[in-house]
Amino acid sequence: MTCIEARGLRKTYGKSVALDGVNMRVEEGRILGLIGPNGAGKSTALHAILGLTPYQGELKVLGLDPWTERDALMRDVCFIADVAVLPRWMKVSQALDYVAGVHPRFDRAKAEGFLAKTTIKRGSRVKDLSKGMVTQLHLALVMAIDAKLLVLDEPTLGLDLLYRKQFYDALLNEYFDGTRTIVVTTHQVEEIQHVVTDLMFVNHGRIVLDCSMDTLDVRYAEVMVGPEHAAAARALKPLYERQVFGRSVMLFDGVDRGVLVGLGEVRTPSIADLFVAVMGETQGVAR
Amino acid sequence: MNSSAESVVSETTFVGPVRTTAAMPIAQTLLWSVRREIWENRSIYIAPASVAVALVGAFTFSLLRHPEVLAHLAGMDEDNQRLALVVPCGIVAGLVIMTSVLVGVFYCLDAMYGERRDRSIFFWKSLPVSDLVTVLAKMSAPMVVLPVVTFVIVVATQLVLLLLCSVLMLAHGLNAGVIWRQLPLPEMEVVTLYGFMAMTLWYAPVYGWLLFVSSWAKRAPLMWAVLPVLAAAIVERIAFNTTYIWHMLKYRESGFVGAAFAGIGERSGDARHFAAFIPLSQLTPGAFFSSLGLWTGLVAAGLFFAAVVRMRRYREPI
Repeated sequence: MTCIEARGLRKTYGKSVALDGVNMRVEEGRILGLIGPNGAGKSTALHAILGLTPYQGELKVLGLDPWTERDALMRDVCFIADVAVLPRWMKVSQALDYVAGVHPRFDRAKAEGFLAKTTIKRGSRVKDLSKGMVTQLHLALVMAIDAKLLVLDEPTLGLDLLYRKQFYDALLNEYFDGTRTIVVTTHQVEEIQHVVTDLMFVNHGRIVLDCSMDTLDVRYAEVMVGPEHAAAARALKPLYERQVFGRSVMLFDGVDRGVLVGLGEVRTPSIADLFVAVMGETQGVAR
Repeated sequence: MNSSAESVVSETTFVGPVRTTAAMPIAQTLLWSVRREIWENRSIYIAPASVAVALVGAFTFSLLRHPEVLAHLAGMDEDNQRLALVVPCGIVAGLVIMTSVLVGVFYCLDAMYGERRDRSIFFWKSLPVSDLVTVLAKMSAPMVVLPVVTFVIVVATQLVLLLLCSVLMLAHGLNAGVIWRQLPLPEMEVVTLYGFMAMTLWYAPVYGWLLFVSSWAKRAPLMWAVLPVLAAAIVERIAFNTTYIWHMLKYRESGFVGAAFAGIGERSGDARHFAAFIPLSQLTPGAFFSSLGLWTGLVAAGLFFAAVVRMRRYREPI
């Protein structure tokens, strides 16, 4: 079953184009990492998916039109669109009461359980919590909602390293159950390397890479090429090349691994390496 | 790579069953939304209550300093006794109600603007509460919650003052029964409630306008709410030498007095602060509920309301 389906999604702010005809399809049960530089259109795409902004083109989320059916959609979708958007005047207990009052799929006991692992007090107001605590509170609220789609826009921004790790562990072990769909954007590409099942790179309002992590293993290969093989390797048209300790690290797209093994040590590139390679390429195209 | 990304979806169609969770009852989401407005805007009850407490304090201080007033009251004839009791009650009602109107005005100016400014609109919109219910809850604050809270405070304050007077009179060996015999308490409260309700309905388009500006303005909603209207009135005066807009504003401010009560001129706006003067026989609910001024106002309020619901969907954080 398809969770998100977009065709020709377009959004402009005056003359600047935020989304330039995006086509995307996210199946149920996937964890999609949406990666792109600032201003690439990630947040705009997420906002369109969540019914926060109008758009041109076709978009269905769980079979609903997000723009006209946001409130119905939000019974099955939850999101953290931005850090620190919890109202500053609100008490922690009020946040729990309110969400429990309006959300049919909120499990208060579960949220209390998440909060019990933190130092957040029920009587505190959001404005008196640290930035990290606000994020923890928001995550506790969101993760206690039995949603079909969870959208996280930079969820770990402002969190320290320890808590980031805990967050993704909790997301995988306590939240993700194989039928839920998660869409996550982040600047910390390395932290989602072993979390996502699918990867999408966005740049200039377009999707420049869309593949599953399984395909990534098969399709892309990074080879540490010694100087003696450099010319032969370049003949295979690497996507990207960088120098490390006098040797060339080349990233190939769709070249048979059997061929590459002869040139040097072959490994699957990290998301960060792939990001640099693909973005470099598309920047070049843009120029 | 672009083409490969696009080809993935090229043959698909938008199918698949719509699977949604059943909604919470709308009354429940509305109730919680109203509750959330009261949590956020504690001035809804703090401001009128503070004024009430200050008034009780002032009257107490005055009576303790000048206890001879009580003896004077006991010696008056019946008409003057009634007047002497009704006037302070009227002052209490007038000042507390005025405070509540001010709170309502500032509440409306911030209601749709504040959540965009602090970006908390992203949190509110992440919950299954429609824009309609949200705006309904916000509109109900000045139209229902504030008036009910304020009326309760007014009655409570008046009772406290009367009890205080009684105790002081007894302490001075005077007959406190005069207070409860001469003051038409139930009648006075009915008149206050009626006048307050008439005023609230009459002001509905004002609250609607303020909410609309709050939902639309990108900065300084107070300026946007007031200046264009003032400018229009001034331009009209200079260009056409007429004062229709000005009179329209005056009518909206105090026109309900003439519509809701007989024998009180529309111009004597101050009379409403002494609503307690008015006997039941001067109430004209029939005329009020069939007055053009009320209904044009309610229609305008309805239009503003619809516009605010729409703006809530379109406007993004500032």
